[in-house]
Amino acid sequence: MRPQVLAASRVPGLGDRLAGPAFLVCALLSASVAIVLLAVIGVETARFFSQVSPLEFFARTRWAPLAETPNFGVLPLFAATAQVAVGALCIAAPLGLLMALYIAQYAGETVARGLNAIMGGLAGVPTVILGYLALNLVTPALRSLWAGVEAFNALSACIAVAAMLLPTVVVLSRDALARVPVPLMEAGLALGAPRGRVVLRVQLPAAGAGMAAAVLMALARAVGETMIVTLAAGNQAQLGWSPLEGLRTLTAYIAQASLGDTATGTLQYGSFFAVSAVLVAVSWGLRGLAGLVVARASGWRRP
Amino acid sequence: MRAARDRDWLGGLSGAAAVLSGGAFLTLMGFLLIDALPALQLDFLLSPSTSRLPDGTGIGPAVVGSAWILLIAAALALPVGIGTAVYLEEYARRRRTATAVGRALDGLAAVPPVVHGVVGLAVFVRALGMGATILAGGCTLATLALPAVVSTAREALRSVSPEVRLAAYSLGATKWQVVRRELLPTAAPSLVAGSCLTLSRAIGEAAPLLVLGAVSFITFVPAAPGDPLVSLPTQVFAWTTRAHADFAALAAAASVALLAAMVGLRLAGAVLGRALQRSAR
Amino acid sequence: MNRSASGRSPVLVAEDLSVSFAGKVALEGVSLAIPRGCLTALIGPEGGGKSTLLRSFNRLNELTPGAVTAGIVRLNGVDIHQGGVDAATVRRKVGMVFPEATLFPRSIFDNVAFGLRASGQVEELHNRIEEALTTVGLWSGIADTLDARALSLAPGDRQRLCFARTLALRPEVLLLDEPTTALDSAATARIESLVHGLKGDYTIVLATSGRRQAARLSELTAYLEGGELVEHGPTETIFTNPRDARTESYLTGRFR
Repeated sequence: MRPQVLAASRVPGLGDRLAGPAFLVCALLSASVAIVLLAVIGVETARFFSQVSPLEFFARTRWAPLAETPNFGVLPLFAATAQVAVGALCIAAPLGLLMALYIAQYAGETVARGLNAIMGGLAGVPTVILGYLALNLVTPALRSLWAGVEAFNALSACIAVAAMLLPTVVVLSRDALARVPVPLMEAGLALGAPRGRVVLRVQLPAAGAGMAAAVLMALARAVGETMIVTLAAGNQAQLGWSPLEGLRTLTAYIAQASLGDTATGTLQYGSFFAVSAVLVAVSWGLRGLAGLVVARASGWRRP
Repeated sequence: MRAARDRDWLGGLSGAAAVLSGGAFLTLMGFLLIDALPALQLDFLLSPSTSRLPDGTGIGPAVVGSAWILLIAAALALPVGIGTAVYLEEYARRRRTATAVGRALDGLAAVPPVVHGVVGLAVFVRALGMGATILAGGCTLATLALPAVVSTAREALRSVSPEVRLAAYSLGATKWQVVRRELLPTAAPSLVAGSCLTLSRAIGEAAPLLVLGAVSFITFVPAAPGDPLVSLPTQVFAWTTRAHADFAALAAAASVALLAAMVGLRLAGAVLGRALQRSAR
Repeated sequence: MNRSASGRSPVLVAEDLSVSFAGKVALEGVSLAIPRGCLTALIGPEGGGKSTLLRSFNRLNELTPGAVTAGIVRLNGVDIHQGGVDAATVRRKVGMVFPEATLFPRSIFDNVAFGLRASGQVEELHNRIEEALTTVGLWSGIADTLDARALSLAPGDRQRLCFARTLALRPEVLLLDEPTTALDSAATARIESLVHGLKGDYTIVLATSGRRQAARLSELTAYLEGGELVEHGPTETIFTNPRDARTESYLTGRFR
């Protein structure tokens, strides 16, 4: 046989020979960034836990890394994070879901475009600026309403974090609503049902999983948010549930404690990685859950 | 599926939510601008030092620092990110490799920005001995932006019609020829616009730079990547934490400058993308 | 193998060819010889495997992630999947026209030049382009506007430009994948007369869902259903006296 007949008719250029390996190297570099990140957190966290018992870390309720006898009970930080994240979501989720509904169903083309542009703009505002606004606009406003509001308080942080989450909720749930097949809606309208009922009975159930996923994704972002809580919520690492008082979240601890001068190998340095590990685990967990919700729902719809 | 006249209570409720959100956004931006006005002067923008006193201080060093960080992050994240996207979309023969790389990037995208700072502190500042420099900041923001660069680039590459791709192959083009002559030129407008958007988000990040050890008081304009880490977002943070009202105006003015830089970068990307599109036709 | 002396010896041969996409079987155990200089029509219901078989002949399936090919395809006796065979070279010898006109968003000239430039055959670029455009009957109309955007042409002309783009490479075989589905009847007629004129000079494999088109144009017909080659033979025999009940029901059941 004569395979040479079909051999490449010209010498492959440098590009042909180098491009494949070069792109592969890029892909492996990208993957290695993730792997190195995980490895660094893993190694440093393991070193931290060789000095501080995991039991103390996860069960004790006092966080005082610089005390004479340091305490590393992460619960107050974790509770503060949960409080801010859930609080922000209580504002952003209903507002965002309703707004998505308005854009998908009721707004005229111009209004919809304007609202989308506003969400795009809000998504582009750095969180440090939202932190500035929380401290200098939201907190004074709250203090003029309630005398008991402290200068650093959870409520103000919640409101600013909600502003940060709003675009995520709106965009993701708007897309979920848009994926509901038009014929499904028209079938309902053709039966003479008013629009509001069709939306409630047909569109919302069909888009429910996507909207739930949107909320979970927003929650994951809220957990990792740093600048707003660092600026507006203060640094009191105590278990407390009043939204009018200050608190200290996982992220705020890292941002306030690490200003680049913490010595390598100290317990405090190790605690940054242990807290980072908690943050990454929670963020991955919530995103995984969001993926699961969508996968289960779409599996159910397409058997 | 849209009928403006067909209103009901749900329409009213959701409309109210939309008005509330939109109004809140405009209020926030308006307030920021009013706060910033007293400080927004040419001296402030150009001042070569950020002193501890509100008088005579400015954002010159922070602006230059952020520009350096942007350049470094772009130089690192764009080639690697776009290369990764081309690999995943066009070269990945074994699906297992592609899936693994995709998973790793999904995982990376879910890592909070502040954690990038913690790892950047361990790797760039300490292990690689860069110190708290602009270089370390650029590298850290590159890892932060990487997953977003890859996903916007994949999106852009996917917008090239698969039929045109197949037609190119059917005419005897090699993979590299298809990538270089069809895929990249056709996707270039959205690649440019998407990259600028992603980078503009990255330079707004304060948390990772803060963790690396950004400085807030510096008396000279950084001239090299090895100079101390200064940036606009960390400058906003530093001034916001100062109790004095004059500093609040400085923080607001720096915020406005940061927003303007981000919007400018996005606009530049969009304009450049559109120009590329026109020249391709 | 001498081209003129070999008469109707096969150019392309598929031997026990199976193709699956991500585990889903698209083609199973197909053995078929495509004789030189003939027009062979592939007919059958949608999803029957016509397109997949066509794309096996120029190794286009391997660009789809998850595609697995088993069996052998020979071009002039050479297994096109064996080592040392270059896919791009195979595709230059075995040209293809797609259902929709898939032009590059560039000038008419650049479209026809694409394959030649890709293979480095740039010495006689203008002559080869003129030759190809003349063959498809476009030259006289657009000789002065070669720099115009290809997408500005009428749909029928766009498809003819796709033919020209493929013919410029002087392939041995032309694979036509439903080349007229997207066209109106007038444009279809022009494409059909073009294909008729190309017969003899090229070995042509035409996948079509138009039964009458197959009857009008082809000498040989193969009927595919469910990824299997049900039967094949001279077009007249297949259409008037099919052996298999499936072929008969396809041809009679909905034969217009």
